[in-house]
Amino acid sequence: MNMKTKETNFQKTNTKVDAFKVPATYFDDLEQQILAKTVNAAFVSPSHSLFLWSQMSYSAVSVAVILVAFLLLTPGPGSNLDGMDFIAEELLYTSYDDAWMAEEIVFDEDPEDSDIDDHISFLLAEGVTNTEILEVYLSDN
Amino acid sequence: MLRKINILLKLFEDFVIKEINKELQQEQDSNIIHLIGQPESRDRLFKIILKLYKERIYWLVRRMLIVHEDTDDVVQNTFIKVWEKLSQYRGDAHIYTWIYRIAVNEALLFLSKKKRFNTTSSDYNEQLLLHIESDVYFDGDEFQLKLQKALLLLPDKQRLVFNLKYFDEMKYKDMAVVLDKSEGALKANYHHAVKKIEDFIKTH
Repeated sequence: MNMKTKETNFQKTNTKVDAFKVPATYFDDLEQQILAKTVNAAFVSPSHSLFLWSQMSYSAVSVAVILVAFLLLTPGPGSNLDGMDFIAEELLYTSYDDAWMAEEIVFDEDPEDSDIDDHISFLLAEGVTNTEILEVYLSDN
Repeated sequence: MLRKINILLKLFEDFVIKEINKELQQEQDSNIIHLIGQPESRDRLFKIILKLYKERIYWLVRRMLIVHEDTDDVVQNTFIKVWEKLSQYRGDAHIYTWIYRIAVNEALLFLSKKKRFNTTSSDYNEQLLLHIESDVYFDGDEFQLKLQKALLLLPDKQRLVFNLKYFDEMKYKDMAVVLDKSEGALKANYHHAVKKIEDFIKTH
């Protein structure tokens, strides 16, 4: 069958005029966006380079301020807590409940080197249920 | 004065685009491969490809995906892939069929992902239909809307064949390369699509 001679009714109408539209400057914007992600992606202009340096300097200052604050806030000599322990203790007591603490007591240590039976007895005595102990054990192993 | 300079710049830009267009049309595939091999030429070649094909690829994808925003994403991905894979182009097919093939794959992949989130593929097509009816970037008349409704009832690949033949007026020979199908299968697909569209238009 010759497809060219079989021109149908809808093919005679003006349906080839594209009914879809795009925003006015779309194709120019599209080209710029694609170039930015391809050809120009590796190119860093001097002004952009300066901007990056300023951002890096800003980050460095931020890190320095955090470090100074950390040193000032940690307990001094004579305390039983060093800086990291202090922060860890603060996080533990402010963020988690007692049950979570119980998990920490058991599984902070390597189960291979510890006497698991003793720990389980300890947890049961502390009121932690069998199911909770089992869940913690399974999640860690 | 400034206006005159702008007009001159615009004329110069048009001239440059026409010249690079001619240049690319005249390039033999072997020359294109040679250009791809050199990083500086590759950048230039990609810019030319982008200038020449961005609109054609956009309309090809838009007719498949209907939604402008989705089309924008897929077209950008297509050209990023063209950029990434340009060094692998070996000249087995004409460069524009190679780009079409990437765009078609990207569009079909996008559709299959979208349809996976719907119960049936017709659900998604119904969403597209509703989108067309309220789309500010669609200003077709009643008949064009009916044609789009009929097209959305076709399977994706049949719709693609119809779009390439009817709107893009692509030759079956080129279409066979883009879709990796025989010319006979494509002709049969187009014929089926036309019959279905005619039936729909007669009954609605």
